[in-house]
Amino acid sequence: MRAWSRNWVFTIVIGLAVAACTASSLPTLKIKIGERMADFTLPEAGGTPHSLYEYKGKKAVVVIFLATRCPFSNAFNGVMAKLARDYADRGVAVVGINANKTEPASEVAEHARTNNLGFPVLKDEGNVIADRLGASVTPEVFLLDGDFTLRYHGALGNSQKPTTKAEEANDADLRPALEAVLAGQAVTHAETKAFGCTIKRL
Amino acid sequence: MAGGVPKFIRGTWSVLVVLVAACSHSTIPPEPPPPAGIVDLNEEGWRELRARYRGRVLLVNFWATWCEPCREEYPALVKLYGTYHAQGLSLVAISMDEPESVPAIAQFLRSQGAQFGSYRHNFRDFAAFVDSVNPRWGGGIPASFLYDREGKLVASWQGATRYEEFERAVRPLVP
Repeated sequence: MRAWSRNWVFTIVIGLAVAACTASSLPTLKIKIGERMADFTLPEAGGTPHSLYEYKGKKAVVVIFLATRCPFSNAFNGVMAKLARDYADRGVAVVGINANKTEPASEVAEHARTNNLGFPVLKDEGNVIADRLGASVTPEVFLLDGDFTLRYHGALGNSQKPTTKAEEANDADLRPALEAVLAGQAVTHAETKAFGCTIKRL
Repeated sequence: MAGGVPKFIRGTWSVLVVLVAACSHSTIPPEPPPPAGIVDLNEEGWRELRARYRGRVLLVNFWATWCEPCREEYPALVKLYGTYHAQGLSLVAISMDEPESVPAIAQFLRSQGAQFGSYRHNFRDFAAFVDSVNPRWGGGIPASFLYDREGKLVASWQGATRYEEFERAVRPLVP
């Protein structure tokens, strides 16, 4: 057998052996800070389709993966609704995405209504957009600037002390990033851990 | 090819034997006794826990009583522990429940017949802790992390994991 061929066999065998000792099924984020998010179109749960790029002209877009049944996500319902209200007049759009296969569109629409979220929650059937972005939990935030460039990714708040209690939930991780984007400044902490429930994929 | 096994394959086997040996030692220390009840775990407790289990293969599972996929995968964890405990596998469960849910944690563990140590998260900086466990872990649960006898992280899972997947990673580490 030729030398190059032997080397390949050797490399493959050793590679497999090492891989067997370092298995991982952790999801990988597919978009990096500073990259532009590609457009997507998803139906509002039980309603009309929305595209990301229809928010052209906004100063920032907050995309939040959320859930109807996850206590960690539900703890932030009031925080998300207040965020949308507080920043509506400052050119910020909030868009929710539900990618859980276990939570049907009718349930998502009802959840948005009863919790007075006040922003569209889109249904990502087949978790296509969640897969494209590498979103893995709820709640998980992707903050885009007016050019749809990712400026912050991670938690709404409570990244140091996860909570399922609404009275403890806050948006202390996202707000400084959002303020920085609105002020045209660099985001100091562009990534935090988005602790929560794993998105239930197909 | 004359002369039996080619030299380069013999060389490869030697390296493999060393690698496998590195993953499986022969002396297994006894399992530290699990805590009585559900104990709160902070950063110092986590470091002590890891040190206590050094010498045994350790699977750490993060879960919560309200987390459906966590509950779904629990029978796999109990079965895994039952099958490989005598061969040196230890298992530690860390619940992400709130303090008032301790009775619910205990009740669930009883219903599953779980015999391993169980803790409740009380980390001062959970984000930093998550990073220290595996920088690629986003913090979603269920999540499980497998350490070899030297305490090196050898496998990570997020989302409900099947028994066969756990077993595939554990098997090469135990005698």
